[in-house]
Amino acid sequence: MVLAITPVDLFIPALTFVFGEAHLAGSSGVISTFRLREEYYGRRPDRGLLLSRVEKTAIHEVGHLLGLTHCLDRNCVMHASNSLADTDVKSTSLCPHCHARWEHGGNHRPPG
Amino acid sequence: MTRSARIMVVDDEKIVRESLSAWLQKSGYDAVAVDGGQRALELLEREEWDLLLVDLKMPRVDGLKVLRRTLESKSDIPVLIFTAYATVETAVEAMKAGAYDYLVKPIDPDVLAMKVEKIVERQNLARENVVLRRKIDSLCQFDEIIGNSRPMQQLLELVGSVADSDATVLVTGESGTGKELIARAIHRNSKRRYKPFIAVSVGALPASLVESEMFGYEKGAFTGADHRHLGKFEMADGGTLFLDEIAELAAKVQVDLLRVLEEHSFFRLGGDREIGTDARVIAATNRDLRREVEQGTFREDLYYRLNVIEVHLPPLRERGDDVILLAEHFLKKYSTTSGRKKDCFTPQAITRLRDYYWPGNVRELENTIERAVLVGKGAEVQVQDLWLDNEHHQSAGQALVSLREAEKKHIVRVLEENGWNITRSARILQIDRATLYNKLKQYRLSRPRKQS
Ligand SMILES: [Zn+2]
Ligand SMILES: [Zn+2]
Repeated sequence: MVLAITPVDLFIPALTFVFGEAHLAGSSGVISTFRLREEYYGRRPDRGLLLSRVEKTAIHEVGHLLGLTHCLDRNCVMHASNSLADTDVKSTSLCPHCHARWEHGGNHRPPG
Repeated sequence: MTRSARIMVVDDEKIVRESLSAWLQKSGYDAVAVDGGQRALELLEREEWDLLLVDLKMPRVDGLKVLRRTLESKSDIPVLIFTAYATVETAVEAMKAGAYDYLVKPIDPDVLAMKVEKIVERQNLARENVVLRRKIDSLCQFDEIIGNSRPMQQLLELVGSVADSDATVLVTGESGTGKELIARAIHRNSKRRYKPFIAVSVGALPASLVESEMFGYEKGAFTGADHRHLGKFEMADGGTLFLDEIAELAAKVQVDLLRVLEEHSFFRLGGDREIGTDARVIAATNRDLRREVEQGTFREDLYYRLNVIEVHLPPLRERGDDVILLAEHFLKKYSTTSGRKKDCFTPQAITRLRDYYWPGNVRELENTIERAVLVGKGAEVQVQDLWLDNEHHQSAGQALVSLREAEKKHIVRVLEENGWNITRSARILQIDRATLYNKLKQYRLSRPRKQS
């Protein structure tokens, strides 16, 4: 499993941007620090904040690589980050529900 | 368990349909990439779908054709059209023809996620009305709010009684007391519970962004506004809009907010169409809003509009043994998530948790326990795992005790910090050693046998 980290902005064609990209149960992913920096939003640099955002984003993408889908719990690291606020609200850890999903071999919602 | 929503992503460009369907799959949707209008129509007949995401411009069978055929089939599958910048006029035509909505590429991921969620939620409701309602209803206890103390029980009673009205609520309390949790509890116990709960932290947004976040904007409203953007008031329509840190609201936006509360309608930035809204507003602040009014930084008329019902959250230190209940709850939560087995606190740790002043309230307690689970060794949480300094001990804080009690606690504190060295402690207390010995006898104080 490989997770790359880049300073350039990332997007997928239909969307304005993504913080990171990793296919479900894939083997590699990439995250971008571009929109995790306070400077991007015209604010003063904050190294601690940046590191914590990078940490959350990286763990999140690794979660996808392990087959985890998004979680509705806003504090769970697998909650979707579609804006910086989502990232700042969540923690670096899995909620009990996702933890259980991960232990049972990851995987998406049960079909049917 | 509801099945995952089936979403058809139709685009003639491979990279677009594949990346977009993969993006949706990560949210648990059963998204399928389809390479054009012709194939879309075939699949539409053969299989069941919950939502169609269709690119407008495609060779031969275009998005408009797919839309018309979908509508003709009377299947009432919503069709979300996405389009490049240049074809907005056709998109308007699509709207007239009956598209659910249209989005201009590139799409803000937040907007797309919200739209898809909203549609799927609506679909689920229609299809599994009864099942889903029962499920939501079962969630509508105050399960996330833990507390047996009198002030909390009174608070929950109040929450229960005001939930069903449409009155504006002002939630007050120190930071970290869980104001958003209370707002959510009000929402989930109201008749609005099947509609969205949208939270905006007004204080966290730059002043220049607050307006566009709350009211949205039209394309071209300002430089950089290259597509229409829905504001939170629109997203919360029929549901609840939670405005946190309301005291930070700029004067100009205070006027706008007052207008929305009075007239239940607003304009998007750069828009000339008045948009009605039925969002219930719950505001929150950790400041004394009445004082802000007296000092002229907060509008009095807005204050009265917001403060129809005030729900005050007590600080953690006034909630008695709730601190222990909460600590046990967080212990269970974090020992599960971290996989570290911790099942209880040592008696000393319990005492410290109870005596600490908790300036950061429940949030600080949660962080403290999370850290303790990570740093501590063994199955019990020790007092030193808590990393709580003596600074914010209740004794140093605002707990009101007798002079005698305060003197006793102060002496113990000085002694503890000086390793029970009598000479040094007496010097700090500015009394002689004999006096200190007398006080020790008087308060029956002696050095603990074993310092852990
Ligand atoms: Zn994700
Ligand atoms: Zn989760």
